[in-house]
Amino acid sequence: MVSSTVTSNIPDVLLQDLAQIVGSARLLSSRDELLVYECDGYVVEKNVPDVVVFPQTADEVRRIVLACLKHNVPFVPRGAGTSLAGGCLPVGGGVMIALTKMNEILDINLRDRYAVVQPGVVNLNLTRALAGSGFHYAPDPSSQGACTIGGNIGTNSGGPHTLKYGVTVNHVLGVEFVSPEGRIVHFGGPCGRGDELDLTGLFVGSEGTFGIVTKIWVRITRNPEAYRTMLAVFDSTDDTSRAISNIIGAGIVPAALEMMDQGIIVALEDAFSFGFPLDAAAVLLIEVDGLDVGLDQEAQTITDLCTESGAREVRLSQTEEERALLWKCRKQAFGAIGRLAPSYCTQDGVVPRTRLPEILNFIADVGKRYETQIVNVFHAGDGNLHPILMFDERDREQVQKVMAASDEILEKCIELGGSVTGEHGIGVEKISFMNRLFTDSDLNVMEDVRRVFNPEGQCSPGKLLPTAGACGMEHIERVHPGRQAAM
Amino acid sequence: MSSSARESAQITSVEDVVDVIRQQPDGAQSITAAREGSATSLRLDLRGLNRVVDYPARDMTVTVEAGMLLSDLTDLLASENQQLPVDVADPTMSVGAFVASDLAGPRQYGYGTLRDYLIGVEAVDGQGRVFHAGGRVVKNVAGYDLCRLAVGSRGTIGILTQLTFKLRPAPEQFMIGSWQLDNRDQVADALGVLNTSATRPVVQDLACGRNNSWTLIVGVDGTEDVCAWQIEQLKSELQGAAKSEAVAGDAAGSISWCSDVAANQCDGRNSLLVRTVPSLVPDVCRTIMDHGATAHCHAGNGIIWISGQTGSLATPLEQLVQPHGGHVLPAAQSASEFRRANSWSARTISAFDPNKVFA
Repeated sequence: MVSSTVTSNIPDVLLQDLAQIVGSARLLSSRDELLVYECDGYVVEKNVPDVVVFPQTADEVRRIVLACLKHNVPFVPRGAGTSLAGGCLPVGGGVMIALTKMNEILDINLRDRYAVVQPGVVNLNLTRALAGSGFHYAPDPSSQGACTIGGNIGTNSGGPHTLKYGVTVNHVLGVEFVSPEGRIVHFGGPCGRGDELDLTGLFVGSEGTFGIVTKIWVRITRNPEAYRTMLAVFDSTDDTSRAISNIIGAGIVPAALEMMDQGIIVALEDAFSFGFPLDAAAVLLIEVDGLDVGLDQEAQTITDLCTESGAREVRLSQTEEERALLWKCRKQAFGAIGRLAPSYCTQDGVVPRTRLPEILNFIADVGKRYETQIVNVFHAGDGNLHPILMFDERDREQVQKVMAASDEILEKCIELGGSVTGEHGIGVEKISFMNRLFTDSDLNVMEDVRRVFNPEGQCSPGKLLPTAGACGMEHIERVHPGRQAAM
Repeated sequence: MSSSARESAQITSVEDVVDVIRQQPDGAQSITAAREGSATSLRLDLRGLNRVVDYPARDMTVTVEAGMLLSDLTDLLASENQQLPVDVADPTMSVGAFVASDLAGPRQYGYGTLRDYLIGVEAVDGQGRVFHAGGRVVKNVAGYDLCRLAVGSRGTIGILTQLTFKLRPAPEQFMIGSWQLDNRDQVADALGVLNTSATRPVVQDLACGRNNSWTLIVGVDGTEDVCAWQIEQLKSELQGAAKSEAVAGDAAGSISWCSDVAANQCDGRNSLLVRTVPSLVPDVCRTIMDHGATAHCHAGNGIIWISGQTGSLATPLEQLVQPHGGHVLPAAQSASEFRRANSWSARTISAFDPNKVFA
């Protein structure tokens, strides 16, 4: 339970303490500067922090946390702010601890296949640092050119290649973090855990509610010897879904299996002139990787399965440049949305793969009923959808429609046996769904686990669990109208 | 549910588990689902909790009750040419015990451990609360990851009642070869070669026996062509080593070998377990052999099971591995020892079992 004296207005003496810890050059307190941090990629909810600080060491983070505890002020970590669920929204204001200046790769050990990084290291920068070594860092969210590994830890990020390589938690050996009580704690390390609970696994995906990560030991992965990357073109989304199911059902685990529908294809072609067929209902980007000796057969099997499922054509990338451009189109798809609408809201629902036809048809129907354009680009191999709902956030009615449409889509995912988030996290956006996914007993157990790490609730308040906004925290309010006000 | 002389209670539903836990007055005997354990604890016999709840094979997930035997699960998955690719030490073990113990064998090098496959869990905690985490889809980050917490938890956070796994297709072929090496330096060189091999092994083990015997065991899987290519490639890459032999030339034989190795890890023969970085494996093994003990290593993972004369080994091994983040552990640890091993583990366990109901 949070102390009733937690405040969203920070006293001057705390500002002074923070300035002493990080120096005035690494502290933002003017309104204009703070506006940049009022939201992350989830633009529907906004709140300006009272101050943003940029520590450079774990000890600075520790001292910042202790200062916040001393003055009973909430605090929230932030990486690059690419969260799509309001994961770094400063609910109740308080101190935002931005980790972008803790951006060093501390060690790379190729022989033992691990790297040690600070939380502000941009995901792609680790793989870039490994270029030429024969290794890479496998979790590759589409935002990897901007998102940080610390942020990836927060949400247990995925990406297109999780189908074969797993998500962030499968590649984290250990974490160092500052607990919400202000202690520096280590779980795991280069050798993984000792004989204890998998606390590293528990910490990953805790969305900043267990503390502020300050160092991460990550596993690095051998590069595959070769790739075969295909673009399969379909005249209907049902055919596309059938192909997905047939590929997986045939016992093939592609490295990636991504779907893009016509709406996003049009935007991508306008942006990148790749040569996408603009009249296709959907395309599948399918990649297999591994030993070269086996890939031609695997690619041929996939081609045959796609053709049997109704594919109009299946193109095989002939050069590394063509492959790279195809992936650029996929990974920058969200950026291409800017050509279609001033704002977008993307959902992150998951369904069993075999239920993809139903959910895609449902999404199309939702778009019609709410008169909202929805395009789809997503990790089809995992059943992890990303319907992108387009709107203008300056139009309140459009905001309400998008929220209602989003809720219907997520409700349907639950009905089909899935989840409301495959990789973006609950954040603030989907807190209201936790009661739909979990029983009271489940949530009580999770709240008890949260209290182990965050007994006063001051670290990342208002996130992940619906009880987070309960008793004792009423005065931690959203300053700007949030999702509930919009509804 | 029936009970016999309060030594065990037969369970056929999750409600039975809840009843047993909630009916225990404070300070009464502790509760366990483990086959072994304190003679005074009440053992829950979950063999009646053994249904297949859901197996949508084309979704490559399976949900089973925790009392199901591993042999039954393996057979079920094999019927769809699928696998849970974690080596089974004891096919008569229940799925729940398998998860709670986090046993893994040689294939962890290529496939990981149960941590990488458990996607949904139902359990009853020490307060009699039924709780769930994860779900039945292969990607899911809603809520805290209590699935990871459950793997290897030794029954300390709850009695597992239902489990959901993501699956992998069974490979067409799985072959294992062995190479005899002469000394620590040759082993280090060979492991270094394997680290950047053109192949992609799924097994990389090292057996260090008496009389300075070092046996490197490497396994590959995939299609017939891919396996055959890899074995020939390995012979070429390791040609500096002594003669090679086939350990198992087909999938059934290779799986069986892996299971035997996994079984050896929990049959009581080992007294110490080392977790270290892979590059230290040769030096750790040299130290072990100098002390007259023997070891079987999952060398690619830096996991070393030690048997024989281990009395004075712990200290020199700690000096060797701890500066690199390694651990020297007893090979088997009771749940209560496990509970006390680490303060954060203890605190987390207390969230589930504040009254120490579980043995």
